[in-house]
Amino acid sequence: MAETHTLTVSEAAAQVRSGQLAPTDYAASLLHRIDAFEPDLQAWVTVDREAVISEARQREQERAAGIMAGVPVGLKDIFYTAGVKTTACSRIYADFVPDYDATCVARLKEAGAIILGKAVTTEFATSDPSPTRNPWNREHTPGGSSSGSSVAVATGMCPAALGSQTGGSTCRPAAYNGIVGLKPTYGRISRYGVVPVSWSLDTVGILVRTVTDAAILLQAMAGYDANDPGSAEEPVPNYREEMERRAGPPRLGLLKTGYFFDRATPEVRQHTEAIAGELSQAGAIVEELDLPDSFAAAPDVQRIIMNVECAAFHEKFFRHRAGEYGPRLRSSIEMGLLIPSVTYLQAQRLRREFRRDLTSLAERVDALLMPATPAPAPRDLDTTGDAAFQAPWTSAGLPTVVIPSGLSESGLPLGIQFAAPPFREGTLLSAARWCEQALGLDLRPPAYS
Amino acid sequence: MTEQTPDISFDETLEVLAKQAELRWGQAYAEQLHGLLEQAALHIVSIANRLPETETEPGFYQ
Repeated sequence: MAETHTLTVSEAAAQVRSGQLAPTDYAASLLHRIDAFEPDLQAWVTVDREAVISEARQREQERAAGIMAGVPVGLKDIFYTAGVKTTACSRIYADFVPDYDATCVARLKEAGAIILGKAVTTEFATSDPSPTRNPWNREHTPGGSSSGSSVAVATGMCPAALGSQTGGSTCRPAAYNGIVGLKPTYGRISRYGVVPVSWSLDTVGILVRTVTDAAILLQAMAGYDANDPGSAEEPVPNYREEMERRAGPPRLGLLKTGYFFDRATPEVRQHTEAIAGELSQAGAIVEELDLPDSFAAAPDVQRIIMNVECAAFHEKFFRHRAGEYGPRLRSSIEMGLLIPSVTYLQAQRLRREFRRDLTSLAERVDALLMPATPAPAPRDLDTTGDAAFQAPWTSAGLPTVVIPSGLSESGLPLGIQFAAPPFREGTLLSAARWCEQALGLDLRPPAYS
Repeated sequence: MTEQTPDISFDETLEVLAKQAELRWGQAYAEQLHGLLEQAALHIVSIANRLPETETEPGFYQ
């Protein structure tokens, strides 16, 4: 049997269901790993060991049979957990204890998952760096805002964790830490009970080690929730069945000219071209596609919408407690307070246009392909890195997935990102899984393996 | 001949933002925010100079 910390969600749940793996032993081994690595990496805010073992024991007694049977999951500390502090790593929410679980947390539990703990986020899931360290090199940022969730998965402290994405907060730290990150279509997973950054952009994200695991967590959480005004009524397909059905080589649209390659370092450009070549040799059909003109507005649109909505959410606290905010979040709120209402509305209108145009582009292939980040994780602990390759997709609401694709010369993970039309997660994940298998990588930070 | 409205300028936008910031937080703090105001002005000008098609409604919850 593999060491428990190397088990994927799929493997662990299968072993729990067959009785090979006891949820209490599994949870205890992960808690031991947290104890060993936490002083170095600072990935967690709250881990209630007794509650975790008690929940695992309950799963054992129930003979858990769900798709997440007995699998411990970490939660970014913006997800409401009944009776457990949800601080958003902020002074404003430092003592906030929700009296209900976020819908997505409740759905994970219904699927048999065990909540392992609350992971570190940047303050209110924005840009002020968290204390979490990158396990590949502690001098480099782990990315953000889902920094603790990403590092916990990368180091085997848990096989899966929830993050969120308003700009690039799931897929960018996934790339920086060498794991898989999924940002579903806007509205696919309920955000009820999730501390907001920006209502019309916020998306629940999934951090795992394999594309199949991303599909399992998505299956557990996806679906309409009347409590979330942004929740989509679109039916939820069986993602794993769809992945089996679409097991063949995908048609990929490489976004080689313009925005992505212009902003990438030479190393990332060469790497992405080499990966596209490798996938093509393995049987994928790779064609070059150009971004629509309307895409040019996407980064500005994302910033305007995020800052204005962020300011609207925080205004009540900010009037009297501005000094308790970190400098970057404070700047975002201040900018949001000054943006004219007409500019905000024009941004929302422009967003519909590039969403329409990007959807048309993505419909030409199974998935669009591009580098995950302009460069590997920067050697700078005062930043969470560059979200430029995620923000346009978040703004358009299209689903994206990042998979690891190799190491840079400096020994840091590099990733590739795929995008698909809204609600085509099945096609997106099928393409990403085929590529994951063709590349055959299993990146683990050496110091924490 | 139709009279065209010129594009919104960065300098004018920055000036308006600076005045708003001064009204909200006072002159000293508004001066500290100069870099932030420049960023905001860039975003605003970028949006203003790429107006959507007339019939496009806002997205909100997409």
